[in-house]
Amino acid sequence: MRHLLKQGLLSVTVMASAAIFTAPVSAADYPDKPIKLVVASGAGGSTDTAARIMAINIQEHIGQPIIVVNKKGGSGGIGINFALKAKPDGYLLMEGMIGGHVLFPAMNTSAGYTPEDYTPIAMTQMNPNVLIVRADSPYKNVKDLLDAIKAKPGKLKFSHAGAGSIHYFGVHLLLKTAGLGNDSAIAIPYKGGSKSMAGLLRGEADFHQTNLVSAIDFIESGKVRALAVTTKERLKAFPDVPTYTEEGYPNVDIFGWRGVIGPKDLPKAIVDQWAKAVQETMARKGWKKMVKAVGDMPRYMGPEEFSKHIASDFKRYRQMATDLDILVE
Amino acid sequence: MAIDSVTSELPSPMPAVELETPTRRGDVVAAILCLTAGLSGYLLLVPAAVYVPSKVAGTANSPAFLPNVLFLMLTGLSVIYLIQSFTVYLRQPAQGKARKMDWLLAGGTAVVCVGYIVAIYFVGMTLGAALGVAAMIYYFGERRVWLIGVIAIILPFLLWYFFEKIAHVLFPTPWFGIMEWLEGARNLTGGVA
Amino acid sequence: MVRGRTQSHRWGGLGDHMIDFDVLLQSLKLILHWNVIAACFAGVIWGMFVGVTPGLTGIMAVVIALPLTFFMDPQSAIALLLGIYVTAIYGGSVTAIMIATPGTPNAAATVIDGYPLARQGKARQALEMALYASFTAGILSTVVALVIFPIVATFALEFGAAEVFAVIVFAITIIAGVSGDSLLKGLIAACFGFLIATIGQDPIHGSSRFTFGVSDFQAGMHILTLLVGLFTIPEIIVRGVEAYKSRDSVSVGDMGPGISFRKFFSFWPIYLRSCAGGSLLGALPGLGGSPAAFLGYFLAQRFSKTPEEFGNGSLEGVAGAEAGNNSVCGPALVPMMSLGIPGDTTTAVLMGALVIHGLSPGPMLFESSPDFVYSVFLLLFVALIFLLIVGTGVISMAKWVVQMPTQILFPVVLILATYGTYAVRGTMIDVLAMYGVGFFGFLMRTQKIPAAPFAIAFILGPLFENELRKSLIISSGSLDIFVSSTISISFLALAALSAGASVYLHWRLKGTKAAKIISD
Repeated sequence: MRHLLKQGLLSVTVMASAAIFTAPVSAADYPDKPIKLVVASGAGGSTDTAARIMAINIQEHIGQPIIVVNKKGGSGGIGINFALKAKPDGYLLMEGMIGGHVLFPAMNTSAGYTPEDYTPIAMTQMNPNVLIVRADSPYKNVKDLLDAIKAKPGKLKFSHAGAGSIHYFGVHLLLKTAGLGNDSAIAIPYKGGSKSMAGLLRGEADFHQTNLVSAIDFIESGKVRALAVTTKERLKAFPDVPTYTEEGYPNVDIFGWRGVIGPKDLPKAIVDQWAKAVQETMARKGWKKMVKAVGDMPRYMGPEEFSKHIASDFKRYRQMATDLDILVE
Repeated sequence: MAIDSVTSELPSPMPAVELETPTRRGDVVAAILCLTAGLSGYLLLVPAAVYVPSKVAGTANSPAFLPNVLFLMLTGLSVIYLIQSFTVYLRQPAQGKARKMDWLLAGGTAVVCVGYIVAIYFVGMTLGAALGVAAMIYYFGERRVWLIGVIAIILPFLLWYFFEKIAHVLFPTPWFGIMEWLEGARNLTGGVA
Repeated sequence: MVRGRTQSHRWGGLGDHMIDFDVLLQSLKLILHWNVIAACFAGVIWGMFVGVTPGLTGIMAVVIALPLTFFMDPQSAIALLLGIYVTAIYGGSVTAIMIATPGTPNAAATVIDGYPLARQGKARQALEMALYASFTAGILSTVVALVIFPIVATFALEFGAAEVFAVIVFAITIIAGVSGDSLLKGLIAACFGFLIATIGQDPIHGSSRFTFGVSDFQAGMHILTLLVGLFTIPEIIVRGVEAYKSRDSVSVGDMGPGISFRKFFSFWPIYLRSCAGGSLLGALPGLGGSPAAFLGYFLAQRFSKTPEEFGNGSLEGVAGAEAGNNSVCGPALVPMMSLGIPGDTTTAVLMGALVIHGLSPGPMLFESSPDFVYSVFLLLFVALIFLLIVGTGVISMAKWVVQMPTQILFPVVLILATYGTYAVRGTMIDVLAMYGVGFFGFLMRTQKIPAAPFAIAFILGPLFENELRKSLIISSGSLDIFVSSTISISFLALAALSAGASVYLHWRLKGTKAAKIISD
């Protein structure tokens, strides 16, 4: 409560002073008013929660209140398009997410933007993917599963959260890496990750690749069996689950991420200021604890590394969308 | 939601509004419009605006399958509607009451609505609301200028305060940045003071 | 056949025990703290304020409260959000009744009869009916959810794509019930509603339909955009003509008398039927409250002695719709907590709040903290009781709406509707679409093409298409999948029965009433 009160007072003071001091805005004064952080998905979702955790923790490091604004719709396209139209003055940034910032433009040439149209600032967290089957499934490891697909192409089914979701691309990446055709397994779309998980549990699908966070509870309760994770090393929480690298598919290194992204032509000074603040925030215990509660893994990438990562992600998924004939003109 | 002849049951006397009783000619026109929509949808719209991946083309799983079925259904139903209403129209072509006045008035409301939307683009949500509500109240017949003025000031202010300050909804930036200009002016005077 | 039916039996571990009273008692201790109760009350007040203010949606109420919950203990956080959750479902009906503007999609069926009642000077009856029906159905369905939580958790998994499809087909037959005098016009309206629902991303392939390269169209039309356009704008236009012609300040002026306890009680079969239907739809993940509201409305009409009053101001219609949508709130929490599948935005936010407090919804939640699961349901009871109290207060304040002259009221409603539409997703496209639908809705209304089938088709259409195509993919194109389980066969049979009965009724009436519509 006291914390809130302090924040309230701070913001009131800040707003009052912002009204009084009116020297022309330069990077040195940045930020001199509250900053809006656009979340291109619905309130209460994982990206929104991630943004709000960042917002309450970073205030002290950036020196201004951060206001989270939800603008959802169109797989993130609506909010991102809106935020990209903002002046690049650093007062309107975005919570970056793989879905809206990379996957959606990768499969939609009419999305209105590509990674070239925004400025990646910093990655804050990542979420590895995990390949799962039901506990009673005959497939004990990745090889079993791929052999079964090879033996009878077009018979096994996997559930995913819609064409263009990471669940969808992830499995196709595996199939492609294993030298299997796009149609060797049947894709069953669901509305969202949790429903595609239910589809697997119900027996409508034979396998499913999803974010670790969505699967963790089901793996622990023994309802599903994890076959492989997309991280380079085994996860501490599941030491028995091999990595794709160990299984011989190091290319299947797909993972979801979130971070902070600004509009195009954001001044370098602001980018660096934010990247530094993000780094400081990520060292906070409170932030780490909350992020872990949400099921993500803290992972920092600075502006250059993050930009490179996004560019290569985009290239990869655009290629896959073309191959899979799901590219929308 | 059929609210026909509700007016007569109202406690206070209200003038009859002849907009909600279908006319015979209106039915014929509506049927023709529906038929046009169904046919043009099936023949033009679906081929032009629905992308069908080659491997599902022609199956029930094609993205175009349901739109096609629906447009065809609409066409079929419209044909029945047309035949039905046209037979009735041929039998009794004469219309009952004159409703031209009501239609003109309704059209006027639509024009004010369009003006309001255009105003939002030009001067933004808040000023647009002030202009819109004032124009609409005036058009609906209220002539007390002070009353219109009070509502046109208080309502947009409350909405601005709630949406901008509490709910943090981002409103579109108007083409004529009047609000921004005002804010700049306020800052300027603040700086001087 | 196609799927492994045995899967659900592994959930039997949950199904073995029924309600555990020791745990229930423990969970009672969890919620009996002044801060938990106060948070719940605050949630109800806040939800009601936002709910009854047109233009402010229930979603917004939750979003604004969300950051606060980060600093609360889990019980208080959930109490606050549950308070909002319960009230937002009811709050939307107040604006639906008073000014023909559904505040939430849940109130889409309430507007059909609630608003005509208000126009007839019976606003108090309609509002009280809505409140009491909401309360009764809310309590009933929460009892259902609490007692059979373990079963419902299993039950949700029994419903695969084909089963959900069968339920949707059954629900679609409601269209015939709300078509008014002309089934033909109702079906035409439904075609339009369904077609508008196909705008945007294709649910299976992700390709776009009817978007013409506009990225804002990609998301499709929002349901509130459609409902506000369909019900509010035509009303404003018609009332505007009336106001202009009268010149003097006119208003409905009177709320009328309240509803007697006897009358309220005489509708008990409606509450039970709506509750049964609403609980079923609520427990199926992802359907949300508006199909339940329409199902409740439909059931009320089907069994009514005066079905012809429906659409022109029937109290039974209001009771059925409101009991239907509130029956969702208890059961909808079950798939959210047991499978981690939220039914709608509000339950999604609830889930987010659980997660941030380290209580991750899923199969482990009930095993690791059963007392918490029970406490959620107990809080739902508390919230419902607060809803009853606060709602009664709100009804007495609704008076000023009916006293406001038409010349002022409807221009204000127009502005509020515009803000509300914009704020849902924050794009001007939605505002343009809302006015587009509004003008179209007005034209429909002048020819007595009913709006309700349009709305239902829009709501159910995407679900219908999604489940149909998903089923066909699962079965590799074979239609057998729809008759491979008792559940889907029974619902398809029910649908056929219901559709047949509707067509027969319309046919029989044709000689007398329906033929007159066109010749009038």
